[in-house]
Amino acid sequence: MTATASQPTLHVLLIADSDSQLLACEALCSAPTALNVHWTFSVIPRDGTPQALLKRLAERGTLRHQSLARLLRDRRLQHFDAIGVFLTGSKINDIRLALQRNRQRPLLFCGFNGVVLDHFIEGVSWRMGYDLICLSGPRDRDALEQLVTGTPFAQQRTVLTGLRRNAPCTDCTPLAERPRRLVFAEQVIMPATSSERARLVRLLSDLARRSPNWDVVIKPRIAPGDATFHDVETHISTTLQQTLGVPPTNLRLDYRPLPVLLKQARLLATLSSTAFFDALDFGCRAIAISDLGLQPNYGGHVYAGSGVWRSLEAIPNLDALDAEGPSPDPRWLEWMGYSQQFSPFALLEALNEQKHRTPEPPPSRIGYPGNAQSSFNQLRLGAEAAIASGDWTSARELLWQATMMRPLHRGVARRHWAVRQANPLIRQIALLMSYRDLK
Amino acid sequence: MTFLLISDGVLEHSACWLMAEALEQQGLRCITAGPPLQGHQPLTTPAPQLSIDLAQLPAHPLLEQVSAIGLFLQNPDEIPRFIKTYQNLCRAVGRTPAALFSGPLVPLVGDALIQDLSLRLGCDLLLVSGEHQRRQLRSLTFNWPISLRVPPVICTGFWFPQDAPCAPTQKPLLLALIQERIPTHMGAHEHLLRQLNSWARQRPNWTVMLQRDHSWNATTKLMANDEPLADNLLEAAPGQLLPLLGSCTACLTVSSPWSLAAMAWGRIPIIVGDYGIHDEQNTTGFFGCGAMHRLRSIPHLDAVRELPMANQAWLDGNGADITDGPQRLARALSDLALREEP
Repeated sequence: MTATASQPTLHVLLIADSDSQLLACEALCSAPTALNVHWTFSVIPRDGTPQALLKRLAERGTLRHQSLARLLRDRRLQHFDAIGVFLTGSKINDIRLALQRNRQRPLLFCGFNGVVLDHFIEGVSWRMGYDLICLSGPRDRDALEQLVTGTPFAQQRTVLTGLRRNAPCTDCTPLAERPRRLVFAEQVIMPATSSERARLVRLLSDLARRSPNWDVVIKPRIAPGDATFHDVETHISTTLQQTLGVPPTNLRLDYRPLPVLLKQARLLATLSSTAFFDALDFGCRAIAISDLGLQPNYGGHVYAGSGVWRSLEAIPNLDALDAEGPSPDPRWLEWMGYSQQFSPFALLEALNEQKHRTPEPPPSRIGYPGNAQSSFNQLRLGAEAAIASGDWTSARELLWQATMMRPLHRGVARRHWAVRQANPLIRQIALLMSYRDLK
Repeated sequence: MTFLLISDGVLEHSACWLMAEALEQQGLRCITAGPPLQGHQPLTTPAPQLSIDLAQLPAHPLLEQVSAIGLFLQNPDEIPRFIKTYQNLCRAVGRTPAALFSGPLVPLVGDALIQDLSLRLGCDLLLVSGEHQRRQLRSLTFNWPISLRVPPVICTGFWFPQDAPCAPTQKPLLLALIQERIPTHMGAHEHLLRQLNSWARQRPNWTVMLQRDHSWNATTKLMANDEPLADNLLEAAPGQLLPLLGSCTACLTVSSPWSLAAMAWGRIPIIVGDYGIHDEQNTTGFFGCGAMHRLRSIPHLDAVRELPMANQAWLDGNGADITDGPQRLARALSDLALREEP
């Protein structure tokens, strides 16, 4: 589908910070649509965000770098038809609360980045109240429906945007003509423990030794020094050296972008759901590693139904696996959202349909606070209430808890210092100087 | 049929004792077994008939006499170990193992539910509290291969008595269920207790009872000594959990599962929402309960009377509408035995 000048126009702002969220935004704006969509990306600056990704986004729309505080004060926000928020936890909620104060406001939508392996309920509770929540497929929709049925959130709107992140591959080499290569797409926290990471490296090394006519390539999630959403304790290159000493000659690291590697490989082995579905997009066969068992925090329970949940240890050699031609169960693929019928096109259609309607305020009923204004924000607001009533013990306690949660938050640190002052005059001056409107 | 019910914690002992009583009323024989409990307990339960350390239990000759074994352990990580040891011993002596049934007793959801299932896969029958859990398990195990052997799942309702042991007291009583490790934020526990003390002081006509939902040591006090305590703020004596749940006007907690008893018995529930909906606070399971409130939204204890009851649809989905749990269990085990007959 191609857009023409006569088609309706949508002005959409996407807000994101980490590289994986930016990749989700890139996938969203790559979707084919008959609408004219003007994309703007507001990137919350973070160290180590890959420049190549920012460059690609700049080619697709207007790219801005703004801190969250500046962004929320930006009057231009009101000019968009819709704003998509691709951040984590409380920040998703902060933006909704800030923007929903205006009756006339853009439509707000948010989503999850790829497959949600765990913490779905927490994730949903941060997202409740958005005009639209993007979900991958029937699996997520089913989980959300089970959660909200019989509650005031039962009318929460959702749209299924699928798991295809890449346009159909036109330059992909047919599988049989690709080099005998297996790519292992690393994840920085899956597995998380150093012993499990070492075990995985050992399994790959053994498989490489059993398959001397194959290349086994480890694609690190990030280059040493780059940042991602998760903290990295030991880079995979170090794990490789510390585990194997001397790796087999046909096992190596490759830092090229994953799509490049997937287009030139026959097989992918991974625990990463994004890599798994990217492989399918690029015509590469994918297996999910089962050697670590049915560990729900690594998504074992999700992959178990895939039909390609395989033990590396049990594979005689890669020729045997290749000859077998592993392919995911179509029923499972559809359940997850990997199907032609689910795409970001559905989101754009829904936004276009709703853009002239006045957005409805989120349901508010006693007994159902969700995660709104909870945790960190809640502590700050609680402290302000305590300050207003002169309850200095509670104010100190709440701000102390808030500083425990975010020790680097300067505003909270200043406020905490202010309420600790015993001299009423100094305390009052400090309170005036550290005051921020939190509502 | 003779059942052996193994448990190791106060909630588990109490659930097994109730289950045994109900099964015996159906003419089935039941033996309870497990280690004796140490320290003060929130509720009084008869000691298991066979007092034994869990590590010694798989090899006990009693296990040869029973047709089904129920495993209800506080720490589900122990379950695969028990099953493996027991089944290996049976194999070694050429004996057919008894049917094993188990379940989390309290309603779990999401990550906690699937994590729990992953530890109970070796069982022959899985018990969950309500239809909500069964539906979630169906989704969470979508398309799993037969090799993973997901046991049949039945809903058996809540683990506590269906009827409250007593009516609410005339004078208003707030029962605060204090958990051992929740809320997890440093200082949050103290803050919660300080709030309860302040409420008690504001409304002397109320009684505020602090009730631990776990075992405790006689020397550990809940409130710090330097805090001036309201006269109407009291720490509950051991063994009083059930009568206090029955007699309270309202029951407050962050996420104690015993709050479900207050909800089911029609007392006013207050699930403290200040710590959000988070797995680490065990509050995800209370999403949709309709009883989550921030401490700040309750100006004084009289305002508690205006708070709504729990969302009945949510409560029913979690097991409140199941009144024949033990009968369902007996039926399912007898079906299982029939299926396995040659």
